[in-house]
Amino acid sequence: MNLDQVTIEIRPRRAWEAVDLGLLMARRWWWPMTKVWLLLTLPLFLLFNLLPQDWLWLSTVIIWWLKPLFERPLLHILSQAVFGYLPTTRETLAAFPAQARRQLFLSLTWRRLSLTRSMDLPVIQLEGLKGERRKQRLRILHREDSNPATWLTLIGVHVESFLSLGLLILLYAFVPSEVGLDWVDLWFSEEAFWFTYLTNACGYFALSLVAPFYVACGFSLYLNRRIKLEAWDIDIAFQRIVNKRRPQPQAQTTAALAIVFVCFLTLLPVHDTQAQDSATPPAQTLNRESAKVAIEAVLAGDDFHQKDTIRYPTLSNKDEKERESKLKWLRELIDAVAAVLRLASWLELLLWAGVIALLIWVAFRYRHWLAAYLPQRVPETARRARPVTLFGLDLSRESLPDDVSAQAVSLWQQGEQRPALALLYRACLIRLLDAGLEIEDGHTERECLRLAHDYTRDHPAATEAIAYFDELTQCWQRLAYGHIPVDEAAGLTLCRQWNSLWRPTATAGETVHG
Amino acid sequence: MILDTRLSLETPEGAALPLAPAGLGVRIMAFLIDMLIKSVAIIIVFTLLGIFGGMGMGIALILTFLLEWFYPVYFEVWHQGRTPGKKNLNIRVINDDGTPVTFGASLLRNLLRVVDFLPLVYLTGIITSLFNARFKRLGDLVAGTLVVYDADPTPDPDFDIKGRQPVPTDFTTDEQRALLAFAERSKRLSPERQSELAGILLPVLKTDEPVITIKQMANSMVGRQ
Repeated sequence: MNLDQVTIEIRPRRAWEAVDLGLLMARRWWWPMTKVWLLLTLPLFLLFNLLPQDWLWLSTVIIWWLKPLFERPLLHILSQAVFGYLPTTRETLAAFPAQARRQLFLSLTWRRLSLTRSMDLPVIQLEGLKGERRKQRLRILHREDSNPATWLTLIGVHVESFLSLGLLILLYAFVPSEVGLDWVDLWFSEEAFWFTYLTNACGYFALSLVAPFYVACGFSLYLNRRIKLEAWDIDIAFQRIVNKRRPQPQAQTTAALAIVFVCFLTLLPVHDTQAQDSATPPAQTLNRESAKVAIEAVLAGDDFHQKDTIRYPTLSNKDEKERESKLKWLRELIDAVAAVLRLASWLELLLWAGVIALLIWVAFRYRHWLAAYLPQRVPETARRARPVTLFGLDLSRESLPDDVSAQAVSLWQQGEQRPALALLYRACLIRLLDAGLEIEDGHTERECLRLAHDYTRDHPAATEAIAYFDELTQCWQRLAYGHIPVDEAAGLTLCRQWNSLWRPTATAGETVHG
Repeated sequence: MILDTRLSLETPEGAALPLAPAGLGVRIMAFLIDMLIKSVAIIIVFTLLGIFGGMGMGIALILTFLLEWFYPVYFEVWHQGRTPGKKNLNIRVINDDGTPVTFGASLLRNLLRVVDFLPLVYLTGIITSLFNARFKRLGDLVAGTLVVYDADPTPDPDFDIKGRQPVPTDFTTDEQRALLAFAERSKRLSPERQSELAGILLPVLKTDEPVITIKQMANSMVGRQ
C-alpha cells in the first residue's frame, strides 16, 4: 500500500464526516460500481422474474437477501480506487468468484441481519480474518465511531423502501384520472400481475441506487477507523519530512526555506529591543508616588465617571387619590365586564380588535387611494353673480328708461344711431338676464345670441322676441365694430318694436315669452 | 483530484476558513431528533389544551402550525444555526459565505422543506443532496445556506512526558503540526505503532528515543514543562 498515491484526503474525521466521505467516494466511482452491480444482479433479477406468479414477489426479496454477496465486488473497486488504481470491470468480475466464496454461508445466514455489515465487510474481504481473530479485530474497530454504521444500515433500509414506494407514487401521479386506476385494488387484486413486475422493478431500482452509497459509506467508516488507529496521516507527514531532507535536487528549496527562517529569526529580536527602547524612558522619569497621584487624578476625571440624568414624572399622593376616586367607577365597570366575559370571549374580542385595528390602519394607509373611489359630492355651482357690465354696457335695471322704445326713437331721430341701438341692445340683455339666461362676463355677443336661441328651445313663445334680438345683434355689431350705418327705416323699426316684444309686464320672465 | 469532505473558504483577508459540509446521514439523524422533540411537544400541547374543549383544540392547532413552521427558523436564527437535533450532532446552518444564517435565508430553506419532502419522506432532498458536493438539498440551494460540522474541540495538550526540546529550525508549520498531532494522538496509538511512526523521523532527529523527543518538542510548542 503506497500512501503517496491515495485519492482521498487522509486525515482523522468525525464518524459522520467519514460517512460523508463515503458519499463522495460513491459519487466519484458510481458508474464503475453500478456497472459491476448491474452485470452481476440484473441477469439474476430477470431470471427470478420467470418464477410462477404466486412467487413473483420473491425476486426482489432474494436479491435483497443476497446483497452481502454483491457488495463484495463494489468494495473491491473502492478499496483499490482509493489507493490510486481503478480496476477495470473485467478485473473486478474475475476477482469476484474468489471473493464470493469467502465466509459466504455465514454472511448470508445469521450475519445477514448484522447492522454493522458495511463496516465489517472490509475485515473479512481485505484483511481476510476469520473466527476469533475477526472478532477481536471487530471489537477494536467498533470501540469508537461504529454508531453511524448501525444507523447507516437503518437509514439505508428505509431509503430503499421509501425510494421504491416513492417511485410507484410518482408513476401513479402521472396516470390520468380518466384511466380510473384504483391504487388499493392494484395491491391486492390477483389479476394485476403486471403490477407485481412494476413493484419488483421499482424495488430493484432502489436497491441498485442505494448499494454503492451504502458500501462506500461503510468502507469509509472502516478506513477512518484505521486512519485514527494507525495514524496514517502522521505516517504520511513524517515520510514527507524525511524525504524532503534527503540529499537530493530538493536541496535548493530547503536552502531557500533556511534563508527565510534566518530572516524570520533575525527580525524578531530587533522588534523586541525596539519595544523595550520605547517603553523604558518614561518609566525612569516617574516615581511611584507621582505616578499613583497621576493615575488617581485620571481615574477621578470625567472620562471614568459618566453621569446620566434621567427625568421621569411621578404623581404626587394628592393627585393619585383624586384620580382613584374618579377612576373608581371605571375600574368597577371593567371588573364587571371582565367577570362577565370568559377567556374565550376575551380572545375573540382581542382578535376582533386586531382585525378592526388592521382595517383602520389599511383605510388610513390607503386613504387617498380610497378617496378616489368614493362618489364625489359635486358642489352646486353657486349662482353666478349677475354681470354688471357687458361689452362696456351698463346692465343695471335702474339705468333703463321707463319707455325704452320712445327713448330709442327720439335718440335715433336726433341722429344718435349708436346710442339708440346701444340702448336697445342693453335693454334686451337686461331682460334676458332677468329671464334667467346665464350670461357671463366673458361672453361675446354671438355667445349671448346662441344662449338666447337655446332659450327658445324650451320657450317657443319667445321665438319672435329672439328673432328680433338676432336682428338687433347683427345691426349693433355692424354699427358698433364695423361702423356700417344701419338703414334708416330698419333702425326705426327696431326702435319701435322693442316695447311690443320686450317690455316687461307683470314679472320679468313672462314678458320675454310675450 | 483528491476527495475531501473539507471545503476551504477564503476570507477577504486571505485567511482560509475550513468548513466541513454535513452530509445526508448526520442530517437525517438531526432531523429525527428534532422530529421526536416536536412530536412530544405536540402531544403535550394537545393533552393539556384538550381539557379546554373546542377553544383549546383551536389554540393547540395554531401552536402546532407555529411549531411545525417556525421551530427550525427560531433555532437557526437565534441559536447559532442549531436546532436541538443539530446541536446534539454538532452541526449548524450557515450562509454560503460562512456568516451566521440570516432570517430570510432560514425562513426560505425551511419553507422549501415541502418541496424537498416530495414525493414522500424527503426523497427529493435526499437525491438532490447526493448530486452536489456540498450536500445541499433544494432549500439550501435556493436560500444559499450550508449545513456544516462545528469546529473540532481543541485537544488537551497533555503528553505524559516531562521536559522540553527545541523544534528543529528547518521545520515548516505543517511539519511542526505533524509533530504536535503525533503527541496529541499518541494516547490512542499502541506503543509499538508510536515507536514505528517516530522511527521514521530517526534520520532527521538523530536521537535514541524518537517518541520522547517528539513529545518533548510538542511540549515546547504548546508551552508545557
